[in-house]
Order: sequence, then structure tokens, then C-alpha cells
Amino acid sequence: MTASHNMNHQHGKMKKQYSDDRSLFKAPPAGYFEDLPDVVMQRLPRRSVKREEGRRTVAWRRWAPAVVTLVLLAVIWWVRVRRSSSSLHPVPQEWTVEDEILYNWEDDDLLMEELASRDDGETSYL
Amino acid sequence: MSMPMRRQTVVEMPPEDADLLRRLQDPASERMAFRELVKRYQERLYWVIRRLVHSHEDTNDLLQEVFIKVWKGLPSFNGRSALYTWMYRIAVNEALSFLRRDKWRSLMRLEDPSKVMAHRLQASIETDGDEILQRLHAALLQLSPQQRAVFTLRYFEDMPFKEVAAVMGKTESTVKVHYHLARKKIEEILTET
Repeated sequence: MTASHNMNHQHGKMKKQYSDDRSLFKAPPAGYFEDLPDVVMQRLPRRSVKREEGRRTVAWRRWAPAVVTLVLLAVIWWVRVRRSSSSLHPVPQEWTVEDEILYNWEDDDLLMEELASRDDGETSYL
Repeated sequence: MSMPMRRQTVVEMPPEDADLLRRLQDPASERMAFRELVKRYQERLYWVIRRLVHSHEDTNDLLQEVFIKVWKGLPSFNGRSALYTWMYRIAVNEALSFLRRDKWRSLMRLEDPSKVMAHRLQASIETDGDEILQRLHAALLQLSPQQRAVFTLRYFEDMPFKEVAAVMGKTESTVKVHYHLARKKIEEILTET
């Protein structure tokens, strides 16, 4: 009787014959299952806090890393945005009208006012 | 004083497990009840792990870790699965994590993980054991750890697919596919040899 013969389409029969495979393995040492509960009980950590407090601690520990990470990411993002905006439009040491316009280039009113005041329409600096 | 159940149990569990769970949730009786839990499930969990990792020493380490995790997890056990399903799940996850770590350790030592596993299987079985069983276990080594776990739970533990799915954290249809593929592959391997 070959192994494939046993496997092939004889699932029920094979299960009956081969599903108990414990005898195949070397048995655990004598008395292993008698001793294991004591070994496990000795290794159990003590419950240090009341259960309700423990649950709160567990919940707090579960959420804290995510909250701290989000706050850190938000701070990093804010600092980067601040830095990039200030490096794009550095504040000049001595202000001229053009500096004022360039620095506040998003201020449409100021820009339009300056453009309107120029007769020759030179806007190359823009 | 007995503590109330934190949440309503949402799955039917054997009456003896429900009683054990009630005592586990009472600080006055939890250690005694836990010892009972270890006695009740140690052998079943031992063999689930042993079939996956083979060596008794590794199985012993993992089994102790499983029970410690069960103890730590009991306060947050929500009863959404039966107690034994939850413990099987922890046991299978521990075994699968061990196999992943073991594979990496073998690769770091520039060894072939499949040869290491085959050698460990040979060292863990009786030399005069049933030949077909030996070949079946050797064939199981060629499956993915997930497929081996599904096959072990279904075939050796005789677990219904619904429970296998709960233990593996997958859908019933997924574990059926895993099992079908595992059987097919084993058939092919055994036919070749």
C-alpha cells in the first residue's frame, strides 16, 4: 500500500488511520504534564494593580504611542512649513518698496496699487 | 466577591469553560482556576505546537510562553471567541512566529531552513515510527507554515473549518482553500516519492 494510495480520495479512511500521529514523535519526558502546571504557575507575573486600573493602564499604553507620534509628526510638519515659507521669502535687512511687494507678493491689493502707480508698466521684477 | 463579566459572552462555549472563565475573572479564585486551565489544555496545546516545531524543547518553551500570554491576556479577553479557540490562536501564532524567527536564524547562519527543519524532524521522531506518518510529516515540511497550521488543525486536531478560521484569524473560505491546496500538494509529494 503506497502513501499516495492512502492519501488519494481516501480522506476519511486515512484520517482514521493516520490522524493520531503522537506515537510517531518521541514522547515528552516522564512526568512532564504533571510538572508543567507548577512550572507555569511559578512563572506567572503577579497582578500588580486592581483589574479596572490595569485595564485603564493597558488602554493608555495602547493609545499613547500613536498620539505621541501624531503630535510629533504635526510639530515636524509645522516647523518645516514655517521654515520653507521663511526661506522662500526672506525678510530683507533694508526695506524698499519693491522688497515690500516681493515679500508680500500674495497681497494683491498692494501689488495692484504699485502697478497702477507705475506709468511705464515695467513689471520685470515680478 | 465575584466580579461581573466585563462583556456579554457572544459565542457559545462549553459549560465547563464558561464556569472556568467566571472563576478566572474573580481575583480570589483566578490562580486556582488558571492551574485548572493549564491542566485542561496543556496536552492539546502541546501537540498543536509540537507538530509545527517538532522538538520537545522548543515546544516546551513555546507552551510556557503561551500560558503566560493567556494569563496576561485574560483581563482583556472579550469572549468574542471560545476560550479554547483563543488559546489555540495564541499557540498557533507563537509557533508560527517561532518558525519565522528560526528561518531567519538559519539564513543568517547560511544554512538551508528546509534542511534544518528536516533534520529537526528526524531528531524528534521515533526511528521505528510508522513509515507513512514519517513521510506525511516530511511532506508537510514542504508546505508554507500557514498551510501546515491549517492542515494540522483540520487533519490532526479534527477541528471544524469554522474553528480553524477563528484560530487562524482568516475567513472560512480562505482556510478551506489553504487546506485544499495543502492536501493536493501532499498528495503530489507522496505520489512522487
